[in-house]
Formats: sequence, C-alpha cells, structure tokens
Amino acid sequence: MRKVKEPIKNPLIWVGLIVIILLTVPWYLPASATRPVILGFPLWAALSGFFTIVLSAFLTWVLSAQWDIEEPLSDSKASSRGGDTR
Amino acid sequence: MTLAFSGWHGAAVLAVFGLVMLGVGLAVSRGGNIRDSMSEYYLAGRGLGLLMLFFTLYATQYSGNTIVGYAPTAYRMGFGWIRSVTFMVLVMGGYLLFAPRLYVLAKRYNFLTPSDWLQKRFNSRAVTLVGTLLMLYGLGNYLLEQFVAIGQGVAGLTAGIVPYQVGVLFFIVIMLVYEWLGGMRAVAITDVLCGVVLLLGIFGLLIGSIITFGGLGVATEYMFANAPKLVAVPSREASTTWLSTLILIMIGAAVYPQAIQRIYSAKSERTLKQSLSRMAWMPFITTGVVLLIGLIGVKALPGLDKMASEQLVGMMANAVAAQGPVFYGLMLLLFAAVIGAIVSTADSVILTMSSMFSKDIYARHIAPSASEKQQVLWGKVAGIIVVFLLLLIAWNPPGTLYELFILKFEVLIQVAPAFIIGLYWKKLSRGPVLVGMLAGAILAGWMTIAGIRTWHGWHVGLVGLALNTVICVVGSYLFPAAATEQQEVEEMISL
Repeated sequence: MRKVKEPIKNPLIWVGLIVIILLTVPWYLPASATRPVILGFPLWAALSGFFTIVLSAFLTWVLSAQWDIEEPLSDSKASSRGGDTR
Repeated sequence: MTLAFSGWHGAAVLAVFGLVMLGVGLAVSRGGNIRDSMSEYYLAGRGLGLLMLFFTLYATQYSGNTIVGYAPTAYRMGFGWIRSVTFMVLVMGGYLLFAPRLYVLAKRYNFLTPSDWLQKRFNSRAVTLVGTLLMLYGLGNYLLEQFVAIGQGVAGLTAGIVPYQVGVLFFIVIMLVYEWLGGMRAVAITDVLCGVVLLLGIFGLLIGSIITFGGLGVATEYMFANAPKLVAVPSREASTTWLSTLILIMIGAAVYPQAIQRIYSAKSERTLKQSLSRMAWMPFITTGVVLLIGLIGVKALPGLDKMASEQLVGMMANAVAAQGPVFYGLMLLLFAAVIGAIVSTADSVILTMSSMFSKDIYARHIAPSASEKQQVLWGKVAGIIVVFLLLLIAWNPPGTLYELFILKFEVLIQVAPAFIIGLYWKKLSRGPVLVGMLAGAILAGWMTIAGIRTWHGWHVGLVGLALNTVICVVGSYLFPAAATEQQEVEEMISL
C-alpha cells in the first residue's frame, strides 16, 4: 500500500524549520559582526540572507518530498463522500 | 509617489493596461456555466493548473505595498528589512501547517469558503459567524488599503492629470466587470498578466537604480560612514520583534481567506505542491529586489524623514527615467506594475469577500433555500456594495501604508487555532474555540487602540493569538465534547 506523507506529522521537519528560522534572525551575533561586507551585505545580514536561502531550499524539499496524500486518481472517492456543508 | 515626468504618457499606459486586463478577463468569461455554479464561479471549477495557480498565488500575495511601502521601510530600517524576504518565504511554511490536509478535506466535502471548514468541523453557527465576521473585518481593512494605494498610484503616475478618485474608480469598474462575468477564472488570468508586469517593473527599477546611483556595495560603505544604525547588528529586543514579525506573517498571510480559496481551487495536490515550491523562491526576486532598491536609495537620496521617504520609489524612478528613453519606458512599466500588483490583490480580496457574503451570510443565515445561481448573484451584489462603502472611507486615506498592513493581521490571525488545530485534534471543542477567538481579537484590538504595538518585543496580534490558543487547548481539556462527537470528528478529519 502507498504510504501517506503529511509534513505536520513529522517532528523532524518542525525541528529543522524552527532551527533555520532562528538562524535567520541575528540574535546570536555580537555587535561587531558587521564586517566583512559580503556582496554588499554586512556579515550579519549576509548570514540572515544565507539562512533564508537554506529556508527556501528546505521548504521546497518538504513540499516536494514530504507531502504525498492524495492518490493520483481520487475523483471517485471525492464524489462518493461529497456533500454540502450547510 | 509623484512621477513628475509622465503625465499624459502615464495616463495612456494605465488606460491601455486597464483595458488589456479587461479584455483578458472577458476572454475567459465566455461559455459554460461559470455564473450559475458556486464552485465554477468562485473556485474556477477547482481546476486551476500550475501556471494560473502559481501566478494567482503570486500576484495576490504581493501587493503594490510590496514595492511602494517596502522600499521606504528598507530605507529607514536598513539591512534589518532583509526579514521581508524571510517572512515571504515562511508563508509557505505557514501553508504546511494546514494546506495538505485541508486540500483533501475541501475536495471531499466541497468547501467553497474558509468558513465552510469551520462549520463542518465545529457544527456551530456561532463559531462560524464569529470566524466569518473576523475574516470579513480583516479583509475589509486590507481592501481599503488597496483602494487608497490605487488612487495614490494613479494620481502620482500621471502627475495629477488623472485625479485620485478617477483613478480608483477606473480600476474598480474594470475589476468589477471582469469579476462579475468571469469570477475566479478572470481573476486568475489577470493575475498572470499582473505578475509578469510586476517582475519586469521591479527589475527595471533595480537595473535603472544601479546605473543611475551605483550598486549596493557603494551604498553600504556610505551607510557605514554616515548612517551606522542601518548596518548595525540589531539589539536583542529588535531581534525579538524581528522573530515576532516572521511568525505573525507566516501564520497570518497563510490563513488569509483568499489564500485558502486558492488552495481549494487547485486542480490537484501535485499542482498545489509545485506552485507553492516555486512561491518559496519568489521573495528573492520580489521583496529581495525591493530591499536592494530601498538600500541604494539611502545613498541616492540621503536624509529623507519618515513622510518624505514614503515617496522614495517615485523619486528614484524620476531620476532613473531622466537617463533616457529606454529608462523612461521602463519606469512607465514600473508604475503599471505597481497598479497591476494592487489590482491583482484587490480583485482576489473582493471575490473572496463576495463568496463569504454569498455562502456564509446569505445562504447560511438569510435564504437557505436559494439556488446556486441566486447565491452567486447575491454574493456579487453584496461585493459591489462593500466596495463602494469602502470607497467612501478611502476618499479620506489614513496614515502610512505599513501600519495598516500590520493592523489587519491582528484580527484575521485569530481564526488560526480553530482552523489549524481543528484539523488534527479531535478534542478541540466549539465553546473554547469561540471564547478563544473573541478573547484574542478583543485583546489584540484593545492593545492596538490603546497605542500598544508590541509587548516585550512581540506584536499584539501574536499576544492575542497566544491567549486564544491557550483558551482553546485548556478549555477543550476542561470542557471536552461528548465521546460520540469526538468519534465523528475523528472520522471527518481522517485522511
């Protein structure tokens, strides 16, 4: 049987997401972390930008590889269980 | 945002752009039963493919404020505004909290509006009504902001040749016509057009700014010498507010009703996943580019105060346009992009509000036996009435744009616990959900009115959300639903 994958059910995804989010905010850097300037960005902003790229890559991976619920041909199931919600 | 050079050229570009939008919208509005069926009209028959779904998500999420409001914020805040890239990426993380399961349930139970899910899950008219009213209130504010921005944009671009009111009315009439005839299909196709023009416009401004004023490196060294605050590592409290902004927008923008309806509209799970994956990269070439423009502006136009800096994009565009005919053309395109971005956000919000009036107010409370055709019709009429009521308010535009942007989340985000936790936890019960939503909205609203924007660095919307969530969870443990009801819920939310 096909395995259903739902991102919210995988705690590792959320640990990863929280760690990356915390790394995009420069709370952990000393006030001196302004130099060197990388591609026009002070060090702390360059790090924030770098971890934002990591965040995008991570989310892209989760979206494509960790989310698999709908069966390719689910229309018959959908219509048999359909109904108004009122 | 005055573009002194453009005048009649600007008016001509906007007139052509508006008419092209109308034409494209009308082209997809013919034939079939688009206006007789609720899901055909409001959700494009749940058949949006990759291209249309991606662009409608894109053009709806990024509004005109993304350019004309975010560049001045970067100008005043400096590199800390790099968070605008992060939070736009994070919205995809917000979707991951609920979209995978909600998409399946929406298809299974034929959901049309976000409130359909609340009604199905909690089977309580009070929960659904309060949730609907909170969403409508937040959306109303959001739409108002878009109207104000359209008028300012048109008046600025045409250097006052087209007055503010005429500009707003012109685009509102165009939106209402293609929406009336084509519903979601017309909105999605015009979003493709607006999305492409938006990308071209901001890249035009970036390239023009670099050529006119120099690149980011020069601006950064200028900031080190003359405005060290803009390059300094943020303080601990500033970092807390930064994190708070990320969480607020991650959850708030993901539970926007118009965003939820786009999830419902996806043709398949595959299409939805692919669209969202692409969306995770768009902030770099949208808010990221706008960030660079704002930072370059620090050296290009130093010393602007808060009010003057709000005009930053217009001032930079004026200087770029003076470089020659190519740049002049690109800057006209930029302002078409700003207007297009506002229109593509506003049309989606109008359509969503109209669907909520139609299904959640009219069909649920006023005329339960009305036919789908009647429901669609009344939704459209209610949408138009709201648009003109908001216009009356928009004639007297309030404050600056960014403050309004934060204000709308405070109320809207309070539906998140009912929406998200309800998808996974069968014990979540209607009483605590209702009290939580109300308490969160009242706390956040009261703090805002009292002039409190943050509490120990955290936005008041999140403070309200925390109270709301605690009430939902603790209340559901203290006053659980009957075992049979929990059993029903478990079956309902199973995949």
